[in-house]
Amino acid sequence: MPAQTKSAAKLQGAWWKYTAGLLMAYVIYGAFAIAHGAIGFAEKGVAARVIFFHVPCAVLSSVAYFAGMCYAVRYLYSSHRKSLKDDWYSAAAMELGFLFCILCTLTGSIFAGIQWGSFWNWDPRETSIVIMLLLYASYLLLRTGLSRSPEKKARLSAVYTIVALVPAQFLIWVVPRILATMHPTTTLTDPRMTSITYKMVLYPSFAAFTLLFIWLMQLRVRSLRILALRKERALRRISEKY
Amino acid sequence: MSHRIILMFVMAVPLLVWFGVFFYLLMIDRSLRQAEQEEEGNDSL
Repeated sequence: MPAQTKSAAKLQGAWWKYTAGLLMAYVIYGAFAIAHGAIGFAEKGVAARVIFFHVPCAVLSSVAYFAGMCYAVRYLYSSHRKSLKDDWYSAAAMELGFLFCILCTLTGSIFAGIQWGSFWNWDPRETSIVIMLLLYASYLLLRTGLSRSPEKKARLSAVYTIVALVPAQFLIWVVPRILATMHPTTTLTDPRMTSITYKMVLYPSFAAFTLLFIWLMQLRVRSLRILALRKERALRRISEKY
Repeated sequence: MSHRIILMFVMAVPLLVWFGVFFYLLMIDRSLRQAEQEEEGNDSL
C-alpha cells in the first residue's frame, strides 16, 4: 500500500471522530459545571464562559486561512501535474475558516452584549473580524464566479489566498496589539491570569475544535472528490456516445 | 431555583445541539464512504 493511501486509511478510522465528540461534550459540560463564574465579569461571571467556544473559533479562523494558503502554494507548485487535490484542501480550509469566523463573531457579540452593554462596539478586534469575514466572502464569491473552469478557478483562488494572506494575518495578530482594545489580551499568554478550572476546560476545547475542524475538512474534501469523479465519468460517457 | 440548577438547564441546550450535529456528521461520513465504494466499483468495471 502506498504511504499516502495508508495515511488516508488511518485517518478514516472512527476513533478520533468519537474522541472529538466526547471532548466537545466534555467542554460543554465543563463550561457550565467545572469552570466557576469569573471574577470581574457580568452576570456572576457567566459571560466569561463563552471563552471556551469563542477563543478556539477565533484561533481556528486564522489557522484555517494559513492552512488554505499552504495548500494554495502547493497547488501552484504542482499545477503542471493538473492535480486538483490541493485546491480542494485549500477551498475546504477557506470555507471552514469562513464558518469559524462567523461562529467567532456570533459568540463574541453575545459576550459583548452581556459584558459591555452593546452587541457591537467597533473595537479593533471586532473590526478585524469583519474584514476577515469580507476576505473569506470575496474568496468564496471568486470561486463561485469561476465555476465553469476548474483549472482557472483553482489557479486564481490560490493566487487570491496568497495575496490576501498578509492583510488577513496582520488584521488578526498585529492590529489588536498596536491599538487599544476592550478584549483581554493576557488570557492565553499569561497562565497566571486563568484559574485551574478554566484551564481544565479551555485546553481540551482547543483539541475538540481542532479535531472537529479536521473532520469537517476531510468530509468536504471527500465530497469534492466524489463530485469530480462523477463529473469526469459523465463527461467520459458523453464523449463515448458522440 | 438555584443558580446552579439554571446553569444545568442552560448546559442541556448546547449539549443536545452538539449530539445532534455529531450524529448528523457521522451519517454524512457513512454516506460518503458508501459513495466512495460505489465510485471505486464503477472505476473497476
